[in-house]
Amino acid sequence: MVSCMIQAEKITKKFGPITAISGISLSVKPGEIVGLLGHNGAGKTTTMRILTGYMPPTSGSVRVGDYDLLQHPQEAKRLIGYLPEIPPLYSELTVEESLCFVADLYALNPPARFVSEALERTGLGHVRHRLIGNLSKGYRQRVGLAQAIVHQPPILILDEPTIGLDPKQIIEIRELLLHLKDNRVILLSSHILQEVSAVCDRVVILNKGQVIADGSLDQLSQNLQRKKLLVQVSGDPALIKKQIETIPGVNGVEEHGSDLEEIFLSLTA
Amino acid sequence: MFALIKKELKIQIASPILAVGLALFLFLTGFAFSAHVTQASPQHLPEASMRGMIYFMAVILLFVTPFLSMRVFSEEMKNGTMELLKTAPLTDLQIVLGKYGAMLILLAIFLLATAIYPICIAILGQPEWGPMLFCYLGLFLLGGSFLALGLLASALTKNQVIAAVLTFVPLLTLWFLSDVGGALGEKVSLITHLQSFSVGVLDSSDLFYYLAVIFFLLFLTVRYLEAQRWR
Repeated sequence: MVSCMIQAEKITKKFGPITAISGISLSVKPGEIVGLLGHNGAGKTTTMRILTGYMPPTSGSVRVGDYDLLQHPQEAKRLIGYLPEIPPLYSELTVEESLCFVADLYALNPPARFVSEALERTGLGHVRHRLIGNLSKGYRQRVGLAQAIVHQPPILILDEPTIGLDPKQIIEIRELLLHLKDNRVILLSSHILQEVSAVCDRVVILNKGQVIADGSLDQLSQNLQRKKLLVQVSGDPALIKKQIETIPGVNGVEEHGSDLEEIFLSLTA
Repeated sequence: MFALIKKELKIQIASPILAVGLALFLFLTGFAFSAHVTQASPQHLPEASMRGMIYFMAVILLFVTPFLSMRVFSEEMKNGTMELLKTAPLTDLQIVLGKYGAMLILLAIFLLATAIYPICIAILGQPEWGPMLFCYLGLFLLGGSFLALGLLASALTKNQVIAAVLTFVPLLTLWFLSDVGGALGEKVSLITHLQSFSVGVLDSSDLFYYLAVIFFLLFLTVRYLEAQRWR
């Protein structure tokens, strides 16, 4: 058994002059559920697209199971089930036709058995003959998930799987993820801490295309309590830093980048 | 690859564009055929062949094929389903061949639907089947070249209308090159190479011309998809 199902080494992706992610290293061990946490534009989707082989990194390497993703993309891709942020669905096909198509893409034999299992696991049996275009958003998300698991991959990569869903649908998808866990590796992204803490064993926090924290939720909260505190503030950075440094117990303030109006600062105790 | 062909056919057949395109194609070619047959008079008997029809059918294909090919990649990119194909264990070549294979099957269906005309000719006269088959082979290769260009155009943009325009304008230019481009234009023009097929002769240079055009355009499409990954 391989020690890491996903092993990314210093991956960087540049789109022309823009660096989307820079030197990200990430490893996911068998059985782990890892959450990629970060605000919009932090580099979560780009990281996931690289890990799934959708696009190559500008530099760095990715291993999936025993395979190097660039050297053996076909073998590596067979190990991955991927649900992008917008589920890739053909609205003209029925749920069953869509899953049969994916089963055929992966040359599964017999496809009907794999399709039936995916339908059963995602609770889509009763809508199998309905056109995807006529399904609700929650069901479409489920179809996307069923497409990702139809070939029974050992790795699931899910990009914001609950985005845009109502609270009831969010709970349903979370339960479904826990139900799908088995011995799978699951890497999911979100910009909501609650989301990640509900299902993940480990959290990797991205900011401006870099990993700024990596560990279990307990570890991260201990670090935050004892050593560092990541705060999001708005206003003049220099002035805020100066003022915070005057607070007793604060030994250092470091800036981790900013959005249009907000600044991320880590305070060292 | 075959999975992709099957899916493409399912989606295209479900689309009203195909039904409208086929109906239009049959209406226009049927109109031309009836004109071809009814021009008969004791002084001017029509030939028991498709020779008079082939150029007219080629013009109709020029207008119909951009509508067939415009959605092939554009729709996948617009709906985000390209992400499904690119993260599946498929090479870019397999994706392009799968899409193109489905387009060729649709083209064959269009041409087969016109089989009623040779059958009518067979009832009315005694046609030579060999030259007639060459006419159809020529049309298939010409239509195949149109579709290969359509596939490339569709890979270039998410917008189906732009994809159709990007197909139609170069096709029209290539069509008229024979009239305005001198000797070189005649060599390059897509329509001049149909001449040998229309008279029932299999000229290997014309055959290779169409195959080379198709190969070159599919090659460009594969390279473009590969390049997209690196952007």
